Amino acid sequence: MNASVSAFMANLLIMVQKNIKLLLRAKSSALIVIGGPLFIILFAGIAFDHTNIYAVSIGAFSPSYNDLSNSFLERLSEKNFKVVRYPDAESCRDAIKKGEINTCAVFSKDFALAKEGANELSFFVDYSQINLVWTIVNTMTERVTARSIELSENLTSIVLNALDYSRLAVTESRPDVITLTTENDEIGRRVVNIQSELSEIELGLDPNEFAVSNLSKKKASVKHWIDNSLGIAKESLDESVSFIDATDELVQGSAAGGTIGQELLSKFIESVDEINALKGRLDDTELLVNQEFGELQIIIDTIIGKITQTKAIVDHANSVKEFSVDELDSINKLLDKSLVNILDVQKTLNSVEKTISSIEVKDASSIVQPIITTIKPVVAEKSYLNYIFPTIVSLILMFTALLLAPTLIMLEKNSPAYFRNYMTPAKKITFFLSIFLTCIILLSVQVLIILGIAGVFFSEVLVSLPSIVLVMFLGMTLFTGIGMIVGYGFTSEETAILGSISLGSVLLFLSDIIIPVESMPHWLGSIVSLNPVILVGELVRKTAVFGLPFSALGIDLLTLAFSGVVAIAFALVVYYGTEPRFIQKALSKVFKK
Amino acid sequence: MVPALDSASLKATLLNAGWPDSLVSEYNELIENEPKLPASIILTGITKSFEGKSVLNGVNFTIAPGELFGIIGLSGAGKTTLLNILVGFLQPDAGTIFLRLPNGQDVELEKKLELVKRMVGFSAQHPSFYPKLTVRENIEHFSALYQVPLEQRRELSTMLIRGVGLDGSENVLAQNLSGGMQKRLDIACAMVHRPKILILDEPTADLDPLIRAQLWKLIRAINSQGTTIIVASHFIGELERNCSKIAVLNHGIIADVDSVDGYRKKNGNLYEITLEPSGSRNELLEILKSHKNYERLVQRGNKVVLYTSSPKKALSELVALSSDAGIKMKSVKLDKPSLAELVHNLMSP
Repeated sequence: MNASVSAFMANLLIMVQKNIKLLLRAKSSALIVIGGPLFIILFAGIAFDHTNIYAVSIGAFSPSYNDLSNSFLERLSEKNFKVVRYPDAESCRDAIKKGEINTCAVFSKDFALAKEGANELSFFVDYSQINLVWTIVNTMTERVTARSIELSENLTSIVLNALDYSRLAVTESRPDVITLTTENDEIGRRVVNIQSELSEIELGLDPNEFAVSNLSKKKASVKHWIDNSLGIAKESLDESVSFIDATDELVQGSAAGGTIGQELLSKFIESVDEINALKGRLDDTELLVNQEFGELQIIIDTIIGKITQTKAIVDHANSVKEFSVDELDSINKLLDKSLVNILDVQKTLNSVEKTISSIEVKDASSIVQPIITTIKPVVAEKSYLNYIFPTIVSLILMFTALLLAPTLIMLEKNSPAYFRNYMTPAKKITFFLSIFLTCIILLSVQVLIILGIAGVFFSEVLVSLPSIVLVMFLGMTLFTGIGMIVGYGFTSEETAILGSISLGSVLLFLSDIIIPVESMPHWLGSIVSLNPVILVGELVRKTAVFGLPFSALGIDLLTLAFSGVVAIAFALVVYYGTEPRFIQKALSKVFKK
Repeated sequence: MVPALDSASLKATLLNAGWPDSLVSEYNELIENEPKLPASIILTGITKSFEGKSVLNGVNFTIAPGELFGIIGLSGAGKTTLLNILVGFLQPDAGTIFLRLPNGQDVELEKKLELVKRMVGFSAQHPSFYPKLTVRENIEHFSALYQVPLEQRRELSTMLIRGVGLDGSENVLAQNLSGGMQKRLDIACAMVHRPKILILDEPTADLDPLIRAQLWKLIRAINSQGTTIIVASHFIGELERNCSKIAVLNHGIIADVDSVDGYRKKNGNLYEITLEPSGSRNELLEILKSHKNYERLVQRGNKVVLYTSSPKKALSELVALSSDAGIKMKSVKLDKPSLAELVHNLMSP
């Protein structure tokens, strides 16, 4: 290192030392510029080091409170929300305007579940509280949805129970259906058998086959022959008698008459008697025969009648059989059809059972929320500080640099010593660099404190420390450059601070802190995405929160570096451009009379 | 012109000025290795206008090495503009300022601003230092900017603090110093690089007489080391008592440049008659209206001062007139006029 460089560095260091002393001794500046951001990080740490929402007041109105609406409100009360009931919706909404409450929940009349027109729960919010409204909306939606889900789960459980019961019933009834199928089949088979049997039964009855007429004929023939026999018998008897009489006469007339004759005669007489007896018996017999034949005729007639009757019956039976066969055929067909139906029923029941069984999700909560949209942080969540840390860092860097650089520059430019500094042979660039270096040193102190705090919350910080340091340095460079542009561009401390605050506000409003970049018009979003607050915030998020390595920072890092160089270069141009004006001002100060 | 001092003379002068023995030795040592003083500062035809209004119009004069040079002029005379040009803050519209080096080489100031910065120290009417730094910090800061080696910075600051009489206040914040002390500190800051030329603008303005005397003692002590000092002041009496040469600047023009003795010689026939009436001066002023044997009349309290080149005649007439008018004189004094009056005459139209 040659002498001029070493002299330059010595000058630079003593100027930095002087800047820090001046800043620290200007107590108000030191407090605002150095202490302010540290207080911010402290308060932010305290304020956001939790995951709850405190002190949110909810107004409520229902034309008719019931168990359901009360349960909603009780649920909200349990979650640290202050619930205030209002007599009407108008006063509830007015309370939001007065700032008494943050949101107003209006229940529809007779608030009820799944009842059209009565299941509406409206939340009124004040969108002017843009930073709070989404939290409230999200929280309310979360809480109400939780209750709605709870109720839906109850309803779904009932449906699921019914389905389960149905499935069990179907399962249990399946053997019966199978039995029914089997029995139906058996019945069908039997019906076929019966039909077959019936079909085989010959119920044809031909009276002729009974030869009733022959019977009569035979009866007549028999009677004839009996009558003939009887006539013969009678004739025989008559002949016998005639013979006997003839004999008797002969006997009587013959010598043989005497004992023998007598005997003969007696015999004759006896025979005649006997023959007469026989004749009598024949007559009786004939009478009986006639009687019997009469009866036989009656019987035969009866038989014939019966046969006729039987034939009619048989004919009827036959027709009945025919009908029965037909009916059985119909029955069989019906049974077949029934069997098909039963099989269909069985199939349907199987399908129902299968369908019910195939419902894998049987948990009511899973059905109510088939997709559980759990939004989880990509890093372990500890508190809100996780979410706002990059933004806070970016804002602190921005506001500190925007206040620090102009303050230091104004301390220098408005100092009575400005004139004497100009008188020295120290290079102009030394003064510029001393301001830059002082800002970087003071910002580094703050960043160290911030990283110290961050280290408590994000272990990634330690892992990706080199990346974070680089990002922080580039961020500090960029914001310091911007602050120096403001500092050198303005004449008085007041206007410079106003300029810084205004610029800071513009950068704040045109960042994604208040309004998401994605919600801006495309052309504006493209510009706003180059906002240093966003650039630095994004890179801090990637490094400190996600622990991404240096290589993963890509184009954002290059953009930040380039922006920093441009800012410093522009600040240098402004410095050289405005220096004559400030020298003149310094001269007018020291020479004023 | 104050002659360049050798080491022995310098030491004696510094000791005379009340500097401690050890400090004188240290300072003497420090300046041993410095380049020799420039021969002189030469202004030739310096002209400067602002928005068409001429402020300096062909200013010419030469300041010899080691001189304690005074510049006097009324407000708006162009003193400040001239000083600005001398320290290089302003560029003249015409004319040149040369630093004539001991080897006879003339260096154009405008083209050698860096050299000017190293050779010239400047203390304006209003101090130029950091109010929030202590006395020592201020001196060390500026000495660092003048690239005084770190190892010498401490002793230099100690020496300067003692030299300007701020010992005991070295750790006091500059803003807490009194006006005189602040002026001393400002001069110390202007001296950190041991300038060969020290320009002081109204060094004693706003200071009480005792402090002014102390400050002039300091200026003389510095001058006695061989530092050329240019003082712009409206306290003509102080310039008269301390400066070896005085330039009278009047409406952008150097009315004259001379030593106090030179001025007196140039105005050797002018006398000052101071009349103090017993009663009101109004009657005296009435009779003086008819008395025309004087160049100028000035009222100072109840006194009436007349400037005349024929004092005897004027006095006899005045005595006669006052006796006739019955005006009794409490005192009558005849003296040579002060430089102020001479300068006033130069600046009068």
